[in-house]
Amino acid sequence: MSKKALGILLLFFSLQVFGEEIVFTDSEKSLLEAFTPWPIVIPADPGNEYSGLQWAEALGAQLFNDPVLSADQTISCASCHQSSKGFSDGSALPQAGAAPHVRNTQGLQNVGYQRWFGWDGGADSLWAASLRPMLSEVEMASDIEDVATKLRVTTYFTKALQQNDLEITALDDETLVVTVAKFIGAYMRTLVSGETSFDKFLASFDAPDIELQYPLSAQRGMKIFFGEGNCFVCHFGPNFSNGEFHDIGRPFFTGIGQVDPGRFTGIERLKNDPFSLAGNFNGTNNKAEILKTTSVKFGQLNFGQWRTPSLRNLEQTAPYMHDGSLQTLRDVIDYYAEIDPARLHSKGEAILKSIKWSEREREDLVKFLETLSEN
Amino acid sequence: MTRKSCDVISHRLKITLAALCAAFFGQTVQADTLPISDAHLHYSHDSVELTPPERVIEIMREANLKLALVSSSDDKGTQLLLDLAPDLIVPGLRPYTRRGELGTWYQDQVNLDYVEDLLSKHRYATIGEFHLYGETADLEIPKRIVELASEHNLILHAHSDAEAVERLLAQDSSVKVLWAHAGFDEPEFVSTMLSKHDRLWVDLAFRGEVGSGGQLSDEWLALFEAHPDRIMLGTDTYTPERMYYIPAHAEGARVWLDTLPEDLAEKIAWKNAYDLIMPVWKKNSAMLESSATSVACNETDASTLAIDDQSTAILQPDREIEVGEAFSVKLTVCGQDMDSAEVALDATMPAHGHGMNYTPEQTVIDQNPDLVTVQFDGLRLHMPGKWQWQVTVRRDGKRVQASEEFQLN
Repeated sequence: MSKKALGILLLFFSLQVFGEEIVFTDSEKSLLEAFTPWPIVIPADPGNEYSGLQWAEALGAQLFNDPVLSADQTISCASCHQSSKGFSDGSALPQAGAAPHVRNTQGLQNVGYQRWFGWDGGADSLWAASLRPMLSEVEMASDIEDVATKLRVTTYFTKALQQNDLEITALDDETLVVTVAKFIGAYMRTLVSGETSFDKFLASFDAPDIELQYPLSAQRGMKIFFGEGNCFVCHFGPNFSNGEFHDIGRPFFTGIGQVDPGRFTGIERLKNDPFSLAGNFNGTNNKAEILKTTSVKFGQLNFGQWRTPSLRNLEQTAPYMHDGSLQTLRDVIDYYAEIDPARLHSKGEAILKSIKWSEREREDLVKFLETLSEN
Repeated sequence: MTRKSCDVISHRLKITLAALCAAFFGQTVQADTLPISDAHLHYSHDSVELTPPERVIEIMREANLKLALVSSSDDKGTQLLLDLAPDLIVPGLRPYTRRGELGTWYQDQVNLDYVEDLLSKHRYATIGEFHLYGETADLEIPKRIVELASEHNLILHAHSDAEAVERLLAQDSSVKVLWAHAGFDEPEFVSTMLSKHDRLWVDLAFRGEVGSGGQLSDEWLALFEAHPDRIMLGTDTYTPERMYYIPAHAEGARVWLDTLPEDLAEKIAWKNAYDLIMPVWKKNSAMLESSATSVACNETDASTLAIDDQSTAILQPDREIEVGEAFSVKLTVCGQDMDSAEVALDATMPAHGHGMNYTPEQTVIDQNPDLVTVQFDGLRLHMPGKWQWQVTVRRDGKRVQASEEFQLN
């Protein structure tokens, strides 16, 4: 056997026996520290004086599952936010109310880590976000008076209030329904997903057999995610979301002659919302929290921006994007790989570029994203 | 929320909620309870002995106070409350060392020395409540008080007749007067005074006839409608016992405020006092912070940014900047003729084509010919990567800008 042939044979064996080795540099390891630990302490729901109280969380859970909050008493929050689907509903666009919704149902796991709520961030607290579906024509289609009237004769609700020194007759309808929203907000804050193989991998980075627990493909995908893909820039932190809004070039027509401008609408909604943190229903009046709402910028860039979703338990919440228009994680990766620069304004998200990943790279990225879900 | 609720909180949430419970224990107010700014409170030496400051704060929170302007004889009570609840208490400097000096203070050098000593140690939003009538407003000590108010950006809180109020206003064209008890004058005359003096506001402390029986008389209503932005509430805790009247006073006010249009009710309940007093307090308290960590332009170790050949900027974040976390920056620009300069601060990501999603709130905390210092609150850098500070200085009709890159991970 020639030396050359021997060399090729040895290389073949070394790859087979020892496998491919993925090395993370110190700088990559340092970056990854920003994505640990998990779970982290959940901040209190801003402006919610009931946030963190066990009885309020328990009552919120009951209300979340109670169709009494909808106009015709046929649907509850849980009808669209199903726990088995990461608190989403599995459809591209839900139809709960009189007309189809134009936005995909967002999963609610880890929602308490967000700064803004809803695809457009039109709510600045979990309780304000809880109130909106009750009153929306395309969701539960109810109104303040209707919800209050029904709850005043709902035994478990009145009993819980009584047990916790809240006098229901002292609450006018609006205050009562806001209080209900605060209970639901207190509950939603507790929806935290568990440890994933990604978390375990980071916790034992240098263990000798770590590659047996964490696929090499996922490690390669991780390298892309935190490297040339720059995905981590928006999907930042332990919850894989920077909590802000970006235009990644997805279409936002909702029909002929109709658009859904996302964050642009959200800020308009926020500024006019009597239930925002700047309004009279803020139960804690924390100045820094209110400043978030009063200082938010409003401008042309907001037209077509959507909130960066968390990537945790992503496998449970397909389909993806604000309108549910991408069915699978592979579709999402393909979209970013082939992103159309003509859809992005030169003064917009300049960091977004088509990278034309190879087939293997795309599969590696999917594999990595899968490791962000609980097994 | 009750003490019982706080006690049953699970261990999992203990850390997060400890502060919440501490902050809200004792509150029974509902979310829709109209907040009140109470612009006339005292916590004097005898009151301090009888009611612990923690209990006072609890009472105030029970009353859903949004702002409490406190002045005390002596000042210790005010400082105790301020330490406990800086989010609620706004300190006023009362020129009395003890109760009972209201008829002598304006002729006693001891009281003036006392005021000047306190001004060298603490910051305030108002000077008062003091008692002053007629010509006595033009005596030497009251005149010096007005000078001090002007020098230290303080509102005069005067328990006075109309003559004394007008004499005080005449002494300095920049000074503002909060007229305690609306001078105990008739609403029609108060209205005339407010029309005559745009630097005059009134508090309604101890005016039991306002909203008596839950109804406002036509005369008071006419005053409120004529001057919706100039009237505020006050309890006047002139005896130790009256500390416990704060919630009942607030509740009583809410009854007659409820008969007013919502916008007007909110103004009188809290916004007018808040809008008058808070900007002053914010500026003055920031100056205290500034002086505690003052940046001497020529002897700082902080990193500097050259704006042009005449001016230099010093940026001082209040904490280590983290992605997505709100923070504040104190920007000092040193140079010449800075007393007329306007400065702005922004942060952008050049590689991304955008910057922050928030416009920080800014407060000038110091400005003189050599420097201008501005506090920017509510900055938030929402992505990791290369950011760029942009400092803009406008002066003498010219605009200059300088930038500095920094890495955020």
